[in-house]
Amino acid sequence: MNEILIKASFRILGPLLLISSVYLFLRGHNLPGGGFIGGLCLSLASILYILATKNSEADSWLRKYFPLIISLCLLGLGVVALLPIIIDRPFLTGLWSSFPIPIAGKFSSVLIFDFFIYIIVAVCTTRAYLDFTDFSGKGRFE
Amino acid sequence: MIKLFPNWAKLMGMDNSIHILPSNLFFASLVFFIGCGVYLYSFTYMKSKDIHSKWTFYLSLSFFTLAMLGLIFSEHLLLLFLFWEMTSVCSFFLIGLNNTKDQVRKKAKWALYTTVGGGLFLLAGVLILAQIGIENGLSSQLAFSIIELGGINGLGQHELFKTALICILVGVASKSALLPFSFWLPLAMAGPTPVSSFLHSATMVKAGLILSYKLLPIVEGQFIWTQSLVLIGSATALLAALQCLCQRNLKTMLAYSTTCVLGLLAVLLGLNQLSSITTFIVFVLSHALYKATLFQLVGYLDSTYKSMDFFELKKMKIRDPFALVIAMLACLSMIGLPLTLGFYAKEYLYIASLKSGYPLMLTIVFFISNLAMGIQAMTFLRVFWSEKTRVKKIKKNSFLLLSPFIYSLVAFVLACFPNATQLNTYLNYVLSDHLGLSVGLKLKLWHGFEYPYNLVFILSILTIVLSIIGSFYCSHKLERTSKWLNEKNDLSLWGPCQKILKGMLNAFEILTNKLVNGNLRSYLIYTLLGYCFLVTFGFSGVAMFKWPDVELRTLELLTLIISMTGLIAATLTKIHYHILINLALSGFFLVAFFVLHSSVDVSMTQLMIESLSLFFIFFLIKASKIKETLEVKESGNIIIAIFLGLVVASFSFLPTFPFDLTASEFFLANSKELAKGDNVVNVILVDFRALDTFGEVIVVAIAIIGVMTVLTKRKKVK
Repeated sequence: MNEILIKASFRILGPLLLISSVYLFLRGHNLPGGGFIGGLCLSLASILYILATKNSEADSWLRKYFPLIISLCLLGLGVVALLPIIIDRPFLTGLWSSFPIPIAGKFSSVLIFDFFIYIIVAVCTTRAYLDFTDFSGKGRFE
Repeated sequence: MIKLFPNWAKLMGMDNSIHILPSNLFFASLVFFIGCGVYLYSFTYMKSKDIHSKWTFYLSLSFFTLAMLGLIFSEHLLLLFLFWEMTSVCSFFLIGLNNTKDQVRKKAKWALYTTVGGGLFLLAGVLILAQIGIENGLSSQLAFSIIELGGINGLGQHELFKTALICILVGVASKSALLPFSFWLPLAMAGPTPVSSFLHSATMVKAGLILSYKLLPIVEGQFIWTQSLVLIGSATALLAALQCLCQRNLKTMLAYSTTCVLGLLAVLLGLNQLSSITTFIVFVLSHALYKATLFQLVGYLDSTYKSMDFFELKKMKIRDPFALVIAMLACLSMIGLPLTLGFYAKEYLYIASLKSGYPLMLTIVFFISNLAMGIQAMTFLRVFWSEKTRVKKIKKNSFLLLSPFIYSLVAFVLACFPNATQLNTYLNYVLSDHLGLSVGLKLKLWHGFEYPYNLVFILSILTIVLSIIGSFYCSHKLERTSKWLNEKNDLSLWGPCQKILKGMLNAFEILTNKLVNGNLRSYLIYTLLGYCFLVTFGFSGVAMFKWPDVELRTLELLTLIISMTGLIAATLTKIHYHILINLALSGFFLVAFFVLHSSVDVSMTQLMIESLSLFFIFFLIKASKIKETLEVKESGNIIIAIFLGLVVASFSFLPTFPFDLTASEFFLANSKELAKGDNVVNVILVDFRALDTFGEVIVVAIAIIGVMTVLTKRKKVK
């Protein structure tokens, strides 16, 4: 495989993908974008990074902390979903702050919900990719 | 205002479902009293066990107590079902406590299958009953309430009512070990003794009967219910009476006599008369007290003398005065000697049978059962009754005798002074919720000489005398008959049940081996063909096909043509990478098509997915080191592909597809107002349909765990 191509494209595409992923995630509520798309974009960036730099540390870090991240995110999702129960509203009602924060707009529990989705999608996709292909040395399918 | 505990019960329609009725209080007090003794007993009994089984034991026992109390107090059928299954599951863990033994695990599993399976029948019956309730004008919340259902006048006339009753009857029979499900109770004796004394004699097996007791106002005058309870109950009692005489293991013997008692109780509930209901309450009280005592005594014998076998224990010539006193109190109650609770129970049993519609048959049944239990009690007593003193000292665990002593003492005091201890008043209070305020129940030794009572007196004397004589005769013959019966022990459905399950397992194994043959291609074919057939079947009614009236602009047409070209090229090329590139070409131009249709969100997601799958498959091919060229021999692929393509394409040609736009319009209209977002797609994802997203994300995580288990490199095992 032509690695120069990937390395060169990563230098330009990597930061671009990262920024656009955050951008897609944040503006998702009013314009095209959102947690799912942002997460996929982030996973693309990280896959490209691992491909270009062959950084085995990133690989093993993700392997090690994957269960922790996923379980924390799912727990967070559950907590956010259960929050409205405390003030006697139905499960999963969106809670909105009454005053807007500069730049980010109005803060809400929906944003946190979306954030966890963003992380889960990104981490899961990257992890699946790492599982399918092995960068620590030999291929898996010998 | 912040409310920490919103009214969840109201949300689920379960408010107003826990009722404290007199009879509920009675059953609950039994559970409470026996339960306290069992905990006391377990502290000593479980002392030597390891920490893991201690945790399992106490947790399951506490959960069981909770579930049992819930079951007793709930007058809401769904809630009752919930607690019902909870007791079954707890019982499974408690029976299988000694989980290193294969036999124990098997027996626990059988108890679980029977009780939980019966519970499903109960659920079916409950749902049908609720349906009838709704049709009779109850709201869906009230339709599950036993009290409300009992108030409906035309309930019995409904055509489905009999079906509901039969379903519930199956549930009751399976839980209370009536025929044909009576086999599970002796199997459940594999559990530790405190469990047997609590769950399988005093409380859990009575759950079915408690339910029948609650249902009494509903089943008033329903022949199918009353007759079958009487028949099943009598058959169970007779069979168990025969079986319990031929056991040498004391615990199994007690299990069969419990089954016998359960049968008798079912008969009493089936009769549904004033006298039989009174008897039911008295009998439940006396049985719970003496049976729990006897079970715990067996546990004491087992831990002290390391045996539960009648003959082995007899050979040891046990001399244990304290245990003897307790055994005397319990066994005499079981035989039915005066000044014991069992005496009242027996008297009332005969009175109920003589006053019922079939006096001869029931009297014979009750007589035989009482005789069998009397003989058994005498046999039990003979274990402690030996002529010579044994010199050898044995370390006794006398704490184990504490709670049986309390049980038997309480039973004795209650029986001796029914007036002073307010037992009469209490029993009248208990009976007041079904039978009205003035039952006039009065436990007394002497009823008089007029008609039923003289016969009852004779029968009572006859039972006691015959059981004392019979016990001498039986213990001689016991060894021979027990051998014979142990071979023929599966008189109930135990044998056929085992065969059916084995056959089912074999059939499923053959089916699984056929379907899951390890060939990925065939899995794919099953899935795709199954999908095609289902869709074709589903849309077979919609015959009208119409060309969709969509006008394509030149640019759109161009993207579609390029996309199609990519697909066709992919089918024609033989090299993996080439196929992949062709597919990606097709995919990216499809994205362009979406963009031209100004659906930005879809196109963006599609773009991500296309690029990711390109990455994935590319490196998969690289890593798997397969041959560069594709070798397809099966020509059936084309047919499947064409079939699938036609089915999917036909979606676009369905003109009269009823598409309800209400939801879409609601989302479009309220996106800004309710969820404060302009992007309707994302608002739907994270707000309107956030529950779906919640589920999807969990599915994603589970899928990745699946991928991990399949693909993560394992350590090499030599």
